[in-house]
Amino acid sequence: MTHRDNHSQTRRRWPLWPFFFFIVLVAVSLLLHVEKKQRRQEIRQTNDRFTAMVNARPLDQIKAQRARFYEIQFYLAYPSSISYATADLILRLHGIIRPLRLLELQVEPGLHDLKFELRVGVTAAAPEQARRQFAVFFEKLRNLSGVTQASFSVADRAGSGEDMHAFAIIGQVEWP
Amino acid sequence: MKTSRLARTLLHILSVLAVLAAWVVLDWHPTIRELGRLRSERGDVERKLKDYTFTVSSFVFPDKAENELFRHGAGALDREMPQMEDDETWSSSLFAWLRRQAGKDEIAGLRFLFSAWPGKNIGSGLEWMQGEVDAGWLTSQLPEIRNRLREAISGRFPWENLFFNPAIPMPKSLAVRPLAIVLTAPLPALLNFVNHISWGKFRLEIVYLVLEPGPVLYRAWLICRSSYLFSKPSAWGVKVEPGADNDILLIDPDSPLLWQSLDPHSVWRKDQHELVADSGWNRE
Repeated sequence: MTHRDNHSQTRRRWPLWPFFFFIVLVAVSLLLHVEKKQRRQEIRQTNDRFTAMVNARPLDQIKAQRARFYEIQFYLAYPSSISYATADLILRLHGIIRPLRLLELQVEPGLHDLKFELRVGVTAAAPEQARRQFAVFFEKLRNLSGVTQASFSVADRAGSGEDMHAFAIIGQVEWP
Repeated sequence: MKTSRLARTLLHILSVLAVLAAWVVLDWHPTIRELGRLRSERGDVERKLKDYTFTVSSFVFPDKAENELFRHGAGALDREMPQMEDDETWSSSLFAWLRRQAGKDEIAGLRFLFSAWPGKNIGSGLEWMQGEVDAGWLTSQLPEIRNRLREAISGRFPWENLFFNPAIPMPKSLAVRPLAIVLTAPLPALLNFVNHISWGKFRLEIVYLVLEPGPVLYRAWLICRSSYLFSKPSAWGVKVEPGADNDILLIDPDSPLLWQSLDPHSVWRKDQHELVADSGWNRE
């Protein structure tokens, strides 16, 4: 009898702490997972609010509509803008070219500016004198409104007399 | 007895630590990492929402007048572009218009050079002459004119992207073809013609121009590009499709211009001006 009592006492004393330990583990895990679920829900709600706002106030769509409108307008006005800019450039060059002589002008219109290549002839007995005359013209050209770039080089002689000296200019001018 | 008890206790501690370590590795650690990621994601989303709210507060949304402009602009290309039945109609109508314009601007000599079909040499199409063009000079310029004609339509048509709009498909197809115009005239007449060349319904786009003084008059050749809409099949048809996002991007998507309403007074202006004569140039 005494032996049985001892045995049952031993079985009853089986420690409970592993059980509590397991409960603590599960409880902490549960808290972490609940927090995770809440955060996901918050993100989903914020995303929904953002989507609703974008749908109600579609900035990108309106910006794209405006951009397309301006682009169409630009395209439709482009031919007349460049034909005017080309004619105007030739007119202004013609206004400052004397006493030099225009030999050839090439114009290549771009989206916002015109590239040009100009060959001019200077009648002078000495090359220094020709250079001086050309320098005056080149300065005037660089001061033309809208000229953003201009560089020159000495070109082949024009072939119209010993006194003719030729210069080539490459430049770029903005639309007026 | 004491030793075995100590060993059992040690075993218990070790097994508890093992269970704890396994729990931490398999559940707590990934969950905490996930929580960190979610926290930063929540911050991003909240920041995005805050930025958007701030942006919306400084953005001008379209009113009734602007919506009307959008509706008007949607069909602008279709309304403003020349509409041709076929390529033949293009050449006959365009040349008739150019002849009239050359007559108005008092052009002394005029000649058109173009190809009837893509890839064919110029001269295979109609050439029409009014007045005299220096034949020797023209012959010397022909190789360069041919090159420039080819280049004018080589590669992708730069405005192609503009014609692609899945929301409002064009009722007709787009054709683009090059044309060379050779002319001789006094400088004022020549410049007026160059300025006016885009004014007609054909809206000719100058691609290249060469000008030089001739023995008596100035002489020039221009390469122009003509775009038109056609209903019958055209040899010069262009495949209209969306390009890359940054393809011929004329307006920066972040431009402040796009934040403001369209100005109804500044849109749809024709940009057609006569040249200003300030030094008697047009009396030469």
